[in-house]
Amino acid sequence: MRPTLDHPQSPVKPAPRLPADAANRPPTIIDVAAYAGVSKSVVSRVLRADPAVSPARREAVLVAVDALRYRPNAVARSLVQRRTFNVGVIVSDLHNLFFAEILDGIASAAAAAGYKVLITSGNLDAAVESVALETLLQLRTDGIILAGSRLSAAAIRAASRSVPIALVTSGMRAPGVDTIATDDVKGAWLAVEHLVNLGHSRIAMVDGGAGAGSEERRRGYGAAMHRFGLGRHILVAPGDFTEDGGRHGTQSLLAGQPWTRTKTRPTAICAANDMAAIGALNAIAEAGLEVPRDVSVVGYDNTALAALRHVSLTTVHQPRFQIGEMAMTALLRRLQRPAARSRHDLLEPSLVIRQTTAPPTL
Amino acid sequence: MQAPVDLTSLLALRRLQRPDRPDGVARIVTSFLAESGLRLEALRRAVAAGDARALEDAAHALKGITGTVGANQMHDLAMRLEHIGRDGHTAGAATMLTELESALESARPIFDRLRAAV
Repeated sequence: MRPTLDHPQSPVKPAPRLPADAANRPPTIIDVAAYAGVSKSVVSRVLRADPAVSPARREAVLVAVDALRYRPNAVARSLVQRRTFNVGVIVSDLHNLFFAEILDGIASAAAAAGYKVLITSGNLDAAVESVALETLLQLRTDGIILAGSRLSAAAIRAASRSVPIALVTSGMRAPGVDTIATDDVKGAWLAVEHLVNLGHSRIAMVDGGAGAGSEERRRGYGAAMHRFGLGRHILVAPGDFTEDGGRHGTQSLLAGQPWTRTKTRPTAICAANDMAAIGALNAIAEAGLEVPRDVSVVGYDNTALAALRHVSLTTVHQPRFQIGEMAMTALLRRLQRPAARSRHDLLEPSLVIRQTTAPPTL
Repeated sequence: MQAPVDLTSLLALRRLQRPDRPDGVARIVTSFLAESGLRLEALRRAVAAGDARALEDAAHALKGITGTVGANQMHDLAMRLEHIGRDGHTAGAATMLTELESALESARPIFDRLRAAV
């Protein structure tokens, strides 16, 4: 008797065409096809997110995949298609929320295109980043996104001959390498302009060192200071894109180190990024001063950290999620057209005014 | 002789389902019934227009989904309609289409019960 709902107790035979030993081994694509009532090629097309498969058959395959706990054999797939469907991402600093938010955008666009993301860190060190890059190349990722890279242009060019590369927050130009960045010159300008409008003139900067984008931010700061007639007050403290870098840079500014050529402390500080701004806030508090009464502070990136109520950092906004999405889209585009001209997307920054800036009181 | 509807595969799939998941078989049935309506509509348009190619395409798609859920009678009719279209005409398709619509109406309560019986 055939099993029907009218005869619920009738013996249900094993799914048709299902191999007898299926229970003793991991399920295969053939098992999924048998249970879903479709061919092996339909299963394969559903797993590739082929839109031409009808909704009912797609549903059947997905239910069977879930019920059987089927995991596609990624190695077999990559051998057949000559793609791993993995993209590598190297972020310069996993401690910086900016990169976490960039990764959200990358992961979202990658998932939509059926790609997995392998993430590693350069740990703010070009040598470490170089090893990470080599690892991703050996893993045969289909493309690599470098976020905040400290690698030399020559190293990036060399890698781009093996695999598509997209750069985030970098103005580097190389054939076949796409870049996505915010206009950091303008971003730093906006920070200075805001402080000038509040009445500040002794506006210093804590530098980002060798970090990607820091040269542009330094340039924007300098250009704005000159434009507003404050060239004589230009003061750039050494630092990097870390909390420690921001703290030490600010300490030297407040202490009037010899290199600052002045004993008068600044009334406002532009930090190279939000992490450095947090370090600056710490240094200012350690010096017994108050923000913004004694010193105003502007960060850069507008990470989630800046928006925390107890931080409430005035900062330059970068659309992190969008940057991540655009980087992944650039990689996918280049996978389709490897010989296409390099594309350089420059996004507009904007200023987010919170509670760490106010008119000077000195 | 084949049963008009054979639920073997869907019931086997339901037995395998993880208890913590929503009922996947109900999702398949819902999707099948919705899509069947659309495919039948496409077949009606193809027959009315005498469009053999459209008839073949719509019948082929319907053949696929009816095979997936075990709607054997519909599957058989869809396959015959596909052959008519592939032969480059639509003669006799109108009658077969009526049979197909009737087969769907006969199968619908069976699938509705399956969907409700979680």
